[in-house]
Amino acid sequence: MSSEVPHPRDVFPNRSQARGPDPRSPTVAPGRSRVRISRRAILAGATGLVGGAAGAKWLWNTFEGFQSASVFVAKAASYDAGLESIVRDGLRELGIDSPWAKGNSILLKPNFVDPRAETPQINTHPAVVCAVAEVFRRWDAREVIVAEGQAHCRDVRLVLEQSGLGRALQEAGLEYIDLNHDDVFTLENRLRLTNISPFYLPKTLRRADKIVSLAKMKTHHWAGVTLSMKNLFGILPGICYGWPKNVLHVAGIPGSILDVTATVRPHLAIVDGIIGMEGDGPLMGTAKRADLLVMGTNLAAVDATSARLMGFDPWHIRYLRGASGRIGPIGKARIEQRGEPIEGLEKRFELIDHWLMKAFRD
Amino acid sequence: MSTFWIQPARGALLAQRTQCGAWGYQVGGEAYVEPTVVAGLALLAAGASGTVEPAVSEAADWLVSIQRTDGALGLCTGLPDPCWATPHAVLLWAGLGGYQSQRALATAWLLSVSGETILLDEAVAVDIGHDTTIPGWGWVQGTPSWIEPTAWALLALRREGWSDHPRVGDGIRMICDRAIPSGGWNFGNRAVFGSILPPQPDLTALALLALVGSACDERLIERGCRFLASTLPGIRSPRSLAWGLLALDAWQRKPREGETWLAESFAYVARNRPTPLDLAQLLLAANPRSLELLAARHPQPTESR
Repeated sequence: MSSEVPHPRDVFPNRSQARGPDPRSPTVAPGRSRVRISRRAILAGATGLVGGAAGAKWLWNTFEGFQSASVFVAKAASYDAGLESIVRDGLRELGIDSPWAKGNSILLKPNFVDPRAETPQINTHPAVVCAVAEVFRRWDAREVIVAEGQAHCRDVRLVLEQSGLGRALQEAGLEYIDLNHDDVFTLENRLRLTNISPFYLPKTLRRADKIVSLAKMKTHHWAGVTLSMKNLFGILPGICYGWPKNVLHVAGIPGSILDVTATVRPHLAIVDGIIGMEGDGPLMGTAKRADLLVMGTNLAAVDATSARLMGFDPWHIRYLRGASGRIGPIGKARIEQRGEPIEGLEKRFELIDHWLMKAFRD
Repeated sequence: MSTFWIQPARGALLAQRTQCGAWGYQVGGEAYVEPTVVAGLALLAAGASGTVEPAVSEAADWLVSIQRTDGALGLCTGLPDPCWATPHAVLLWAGLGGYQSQRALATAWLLSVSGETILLDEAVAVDIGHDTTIPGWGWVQGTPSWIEPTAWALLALRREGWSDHPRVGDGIRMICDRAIPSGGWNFGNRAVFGSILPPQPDLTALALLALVGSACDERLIERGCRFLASTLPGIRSPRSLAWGLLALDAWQRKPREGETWLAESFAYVARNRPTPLDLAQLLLAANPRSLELLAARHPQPTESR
C-alpha cells in the first residue's frame, strides 16, 4: 500500500549510512584539568545534536521503534467445530505452548457488548471464547476466567442471559466476572497520551497472570476499526467511567486506546473474524464473513494485520498509526506473517457512507 | 401470591453486609454507595411502618462518613470521585426522615453540577441525533449527560421538594429528548449516524420513573410502557425486571404476573451467586412502598392509563 513504511534494507542498503554523527569528534581537548571548548565547537556540537536527534527520531519512526512481531492468520469457516485445534495450532506456530499456560490464571476478555442473540456480528462468539479456554485448560492453566465490562448495557445478567454466552459458559464450567462492578485499584497511565491518570482498574486483573484480548473484527464509526486494542475499553470499570465509558471519548479515542493498552499490557490477542461487522459498527453494523481468526502476542501487529484483512491501510487508522513504535509494529515489513497469507484473504469491510469515514480509507 | 422468596432474600441481603455495615457490589467486596442505598431502601420499604431496621440506620450513617465537604459522595471510602451516586444517598437519608444537613448539602451540590453541553455544527448534530445543549447529569464531571445519572438526580431532587427548579425542568427535557422513536430509552443516544439504537429495559424504567409527575409528552410514556410490557415477560435478570416492574407500577401498568416473575428471578440468581444489588433490586420491586421512597408515586392516576 502506498503509505507503507519501507523496509530498513531498502532505506539503508549500506549500513554505514545509518550511523549518526561520530561520537569521537575532537571537541574537548584531553589531558588538561581545564576543559576548553571553542565557540565553533559548541556550534558544531549543537548542530550535530540537533541533526542526531532528528535522525534518531526519523530512524525510530521508520523502523517503528525497532519492534517486530509475528501474527498468525487462520482460516475458520464456522463456529461449529474444530475451533479448539485451530487456536491451538495457531498459538503453537507463534511459540505459545503448554508452558505458557501451565499453572497460570488466564483472563479472557471478550468483546461482549450487546444482549441481542440474533446478531452474531456484535459479540465475540461464545464458541471462540470456549475454544480458547479449552486450549489453556488442556495446557494445565490453573484457572481460566472470562471477564468483561460492557460499555453500553449495564445489566450484565441480561447480556449473559439473552446473548447465549451465559449458557455457553455454564456448560463449559467457566467463571464469568463482571468488571464493571469489580473492586478497583489505581495504576498510573504508562503512556500519557491523554490526561487520564491514574487509571482505575478492576482488581480481577491482579488475579490474572495472563490477559488475553478476545476481540471481534468490526468497523467502528469513530475509530475506523475496533479490534484487540479497542476491546480493552471494556476492562475499565463502568462504576468509574460510566455507561458508555464516555470519559475515554472525551479524552480522545485514539489516545485512550493507546493509553489503556500500554497500561493494561495484555499478553495475547485473538480476533474473531469468522463473522465480523461492517458498516455502522460497533453496534449497528451488518454481518460480514471473513472466515478468519487472527492471533499474536503483540496487539498492534494483530490489529494492523486484521485491518489489512478488512481492506484498510493501518497507517490510515489514527490509533494504529499512533501504536507504531509505542505498542508495536504495524508496517508489513516489521510483522512476520504466519499461517495464511493476507493476499487473497482480504475482504473489504464497508464503512458507513459519511464524509467522516473518508479519513479511514483515503 | 408468590412472595415465599422475600424472607430468604431479605435474610441473604442482611448477611451480605460488609464490616462497616454497608453493602458492596460483590459479596465480600468493599462497601459502595449505590448498593448500600438500594439495599437500604429495599429493607426500609419492607419494614413495618414506623420501624427502621438497625442495619438501615447503620448504612445511612456510613454514607454520612464518606460525604465530602462539598456535599457530594464518591463511590466508596477510597474513591471520592466520580460522584454520580450522590442522589442515591439523598434518597436513603430522606427515606429515614432525618439527616437534614447532609441532604441539604448533597442537594446543593447536585444543583451546582451538570453534564457537559456541546454546541455542535448543524452537519454534525444530525449525526449525533439528540440535542447536546440540554443539561442533565453525567457519570463523571466534565463529560456529557446520560439517562441513568440524570434519572437518579431527578428522583432525589423531587424527593427534596425541588420539582419546580429549572435544573429539574432541564433534566426532564433532556430525558424526553433522548427517547427512542419506537419507544423506550437506552443509555442516552437515540441514534448515531442515522441508525436508531435499541432501547434497554433498565434505562427505560429509570427514565419512566424520573418522568413521573412531569408534564412530558404522554406518547413517550405510552411507548416506553409498551416496550417494557412487551419485553419483561422474557426477562429474569433482576436489574431489568425489578426496575421495569417499578416503572410500570408507577404508571399503573404493573402486570399481574409481576410477582411470579420476581420469584422466578430470585430462583435464578439464587443459583448464580446473587449480589447485594440483585437481591435489593428484587426486594425493592416487591414492595409497593418503594415508589414513595423513590419519589415516583404518581400523584394523580388517570383513568386513561
